[in-house]
Parts: sequence; structure tokens; C-alpha cells
Amino acid sequence: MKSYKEVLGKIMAPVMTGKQALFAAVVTEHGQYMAGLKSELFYNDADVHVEVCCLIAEYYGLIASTSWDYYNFEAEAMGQRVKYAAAGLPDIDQTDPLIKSEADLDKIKWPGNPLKSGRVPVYVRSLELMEKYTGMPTTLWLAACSPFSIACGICSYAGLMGFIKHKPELAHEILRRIVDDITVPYLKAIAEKYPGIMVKFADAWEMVPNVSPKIQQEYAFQYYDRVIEAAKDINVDVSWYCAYSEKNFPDPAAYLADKLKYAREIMITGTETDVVPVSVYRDVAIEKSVPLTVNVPADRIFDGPPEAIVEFVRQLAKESRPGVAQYSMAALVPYSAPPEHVAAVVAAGKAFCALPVPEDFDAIKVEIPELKESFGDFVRRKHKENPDGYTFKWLDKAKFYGE
Amino acid sequence: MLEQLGQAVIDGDVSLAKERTQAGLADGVDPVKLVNEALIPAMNKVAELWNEGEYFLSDVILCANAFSGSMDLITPVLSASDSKNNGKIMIGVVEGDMHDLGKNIVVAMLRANGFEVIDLGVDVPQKVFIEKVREEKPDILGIGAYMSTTMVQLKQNIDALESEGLRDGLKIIVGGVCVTEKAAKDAGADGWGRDALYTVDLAKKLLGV
Repeated sequence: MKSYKEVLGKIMAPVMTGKQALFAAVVTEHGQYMAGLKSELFYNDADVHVEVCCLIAEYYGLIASTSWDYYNFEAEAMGQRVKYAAAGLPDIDQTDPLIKSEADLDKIKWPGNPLKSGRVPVYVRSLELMEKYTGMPTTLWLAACSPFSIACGICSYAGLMGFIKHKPELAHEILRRIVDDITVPYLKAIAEKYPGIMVKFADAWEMVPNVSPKIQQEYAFQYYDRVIEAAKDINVDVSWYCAYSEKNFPDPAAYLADKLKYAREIMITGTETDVVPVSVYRDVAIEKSVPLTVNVPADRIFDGPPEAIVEFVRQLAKESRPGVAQYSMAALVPYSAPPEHVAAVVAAGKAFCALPVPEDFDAIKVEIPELKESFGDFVRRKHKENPDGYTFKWLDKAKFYGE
Repeated sequence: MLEQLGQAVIDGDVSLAKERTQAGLADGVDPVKLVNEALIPAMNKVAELWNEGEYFLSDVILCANAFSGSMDLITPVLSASDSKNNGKIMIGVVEGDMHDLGKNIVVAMLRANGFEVIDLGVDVPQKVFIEKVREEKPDILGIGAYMSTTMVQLKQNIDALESEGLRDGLKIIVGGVCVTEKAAKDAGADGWGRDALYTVDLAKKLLGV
């Protein structure tokens, strides 16, 4: 039996030899679902998290990646209550914010070294384990939470909106302290450990219409500027900010172009293509010569059926690929997606990412592979020979899908 | 006075809305009048401003909180016959999901449209949904899930209500940012709450009001 490192070599070969644009799928949550592991374990133990991520990636023939609730790390380390449900990503308790008033401002601080606080060490170890099991340099980039989303995490969204409306000076003070005492020290500690690393900001809250463009400018973007100014030597990429915002602007193309002040690529995040045509994103990417990443939205993968997923990806590729020099596609696989839907999106993604760019996307036939064994059987087979040297310390706690 | 109370809600000023509500009640203003002539028109105006793109979610949540703050003061002094009742709706967010934002807006909009709303809050275990439905016998149960990881519980909750014999005569609406129309159908719900305003219309339609 081959190790995942060897299997990955084959998966990567078409990408490395210029026969396929990069196709990836975010299957972390789905991996947890398929393995039936509790969140408390899955999101607190790097060995468990990474091994399941690698196994689920190998099961579907994917490049492995990890995906954490990055946006909770800083808040949780400060003492914000985070709830661990039986399943799924840990979630900040918005009903019990850490910062309720001015009196709580001094709580905005790391308890010690950022890299040794809260779950940050678990996350850092997961990057190192990924490197070990995949052989790929995975400490090239790391995710951090944007200052605005940290503020929503520790004040609650409604609380922060109340401060912005009725106590703007307090809102600014909270954001200043987050940048100066939380984000910048975190970035500096990361950059010291991994010189040259790129930091990507995860941001769930600052998009329009969650906030008005005015709030976005004054309370989110202004503090990105403050981070960039304070951490000049660190690569900061804000590609993830204000996802889904485009549809709320009268001139989405101009908004996208403006976004490139912070971001290094354009990302089509999901279902907003119902409102803003794919061609708008594509044309800005071509005009500005920046990479374009196109995501297959979670709801399409969840809804299926497999044939509809293939046709959706075909259409997406047909509209988004022509003329784009640096192109990649990703599938946002939801937690409880049926495995046959995942197999379909993987097959379609790889087929429609072929290089050179196909002249006729309609002529491409996609064969959806049959999943010959269950995930549970696959894991047990891997466990028997264990060519990767996984710990499998979680196996007795797993409750595999379909069993 | 009524105009000023309404304006406090439109401005999303929770403390001012509460203050004006208390002042109105202390001055002997009919609580029904406070609701029908100040709070409900104010929330309708908020909905209008949202639809026109003037208001953002950040505005709507503050208005909803101001509305709810006032209603919390008025409700105890309203007699059952005072308030218009389009039906009883129970609403809660599934276990492990702490997102109360969308749910709070739905609650405020339903109350503003004459529904009696029992708000179970967030992180509601399946057994609580069952117990409360048995106890309160609502016309509609609204179940929210705001993460793809918790969405799976919609069906589990509905199935559990079914096996407890509580599904007959109970309409169920599900909603949340990641819940699609198909997901709602697959979960066995009677309706998909696309957004707060749509949910109000759907509730009226399901109850024939």
C-alpha cells in the first residue's frame, strides 16, 4: 500500500507538468462528518485533525489541506467563550461577549506568547504535521482573524454595532487595541518562527450588507492599513475579506478593482454569481493580471445530484477560464455532503481545469468515479499497513459515515 | 410621544426606546397604542429602509433590539385580548449553533406582525424542542441553523418531533444562511425561511392569516 505522500505525487503531477490548473476542495468539516468525530477532539488535537484531513483527501483523490476556525483563535485565547458542539466548527458564544463596556478594555491582550496561547499551538503544529505527511511546504501561509472580525467575536456583532453607532470612540479604541496588542504581535511571532510566511486574513463579519460601506471603510479597512503599516516586513494578504460583498455595489467591477489594494487575487466565493456575472470577476482578473480563484459553492454540492454538479462546474469553468492566466478552482464541500456528490465535484473540477484551456467545454465528458469502498473501510485498510506512520489514536472514537 | 418612540426604534437606540416606552407607560398611554401606533409602524419603516438598500444588517439588528427592548416592557402589561394574535410561533437555533442574529431579526419582525413568539434562544437541544412543543403547542415551529455543520440537525429535529407524535398540525419553517430551499425540503420542513421578511409572509400563508 502506498503512502499518501506517494499518492499525492500522482495527484499533483498534472498540475506540476502544466496539464491541469490547480483544483482543490475544502473537505475538513466533511472529513469530520465522515469520521464521526466530536468537535472537542477534532479541533483541539493536531494529530487527529491532520490525519483525518489527509485520509479524506486521499479517499477522494485530493490535495490535502486543513481548515480550522481561524477566526476564533485570537478571541478564544483572550478568554472569549467558545462553544464546542458535538459536531462541526467551534462557535463563539455571541450571547456572552468578553467586552461589554469600557471597563473590559484591558481584557484585550494575549495571555502570553501568542504562539503558545489558546489553540494557536495546535494550529501551528498542524501545519508542521501537514508538511510531514504530504512532503509539501505547508508553512508558506497561515490564517489569522481580521481585526474587525476579532472585534465582533469579543464584543458580539450586535454589541460592536451598538458601540459604532452610539460610542464610536470606544469602537475605535477596541479596534486600535486589537491591532496593536493582538494582531501585530501575532503576525510578528509567526514571521519570526517562519520567515517569509504569508498571512491571510479570515473575515466573516465585515462584508456588506452585514455592515454599510461606510462602516467597512472606517472600522475595517482603516485597521487593515494600521496592521500593514505596523507589520511592514510581513506578507499580508486580505484576499478573503468582504466575500459576497460585490453584489451590493452598483459597480461591482470598480469595487473589485479597489479591493486589490489589499488583496493579491480575486476570488469568486459562492452564490453571488447569481447577481454578479462570473465575467465581471474574470475581466477584472485579466485587466489587472491577478490570479482568479473560483469556488464551487457549498449549496450546489450539498443539493446535487451528481450530474447537476458536473453541469454547474462545466458552466462555471466555461465562463470563468477564458483569458485568465493564473486560474484555480476550489470546491467548498459542506459538512454533511453525500459522498457521491463530493466524488462528482472532484471529477468535474479536475476535468474542467484541464490545460491548455479547452476550446470546447461542452465536448468534455466527465466520468464520475464510483466510490468502491466506504470511508471507514478505507481508513481501516490504511491503518493495517500504516505506510504514513499516522498515530490513529482516534480510531476507537470514530463513528464512520454509514456504519 | 408615539412618534418619538418610533423614531428611537428606527434609529436603533435601545436605551432611548426603552426610556420612551417607560415614560409612555408611566404617563398612562394605552400599551396597545404604543405597539400599534409606534413600534409596529417603526419596524415596518425599518423593513422599507432595508428593502430600499438604505439600511444594512448592522442597522436592522439594532432596530430589532430596540423593538424587542420596548416589547419586553410592554408585554407584561398587555392583556391577552389587547394584542392582535395571528398565531403562536416558537423559534430556536439548533444545538451547537450560537448565532442569534438572524433569529433575533425574525423574532422582531414576527412580533411586529402580530404573532405571539416564544423564543427558545440559541443552542437548543433536541429534547428541549420536543418538550416545549409538547408544552406550548405552537402553530409554527421555526428552527434555525447558521452553519453547514449544524444544518444536519434540522432533519434530526423534525424526525424526532415526528417520532414523538408532535408533527401533526404543526407547521415547521427552517432557515439560516446556509439552508437552501432543497435542504429545507429534504429536512421535511413545510417552508423555507429565506429571510426575515419572507418568513413573515410565509408564516401568514401557512396559517391563512
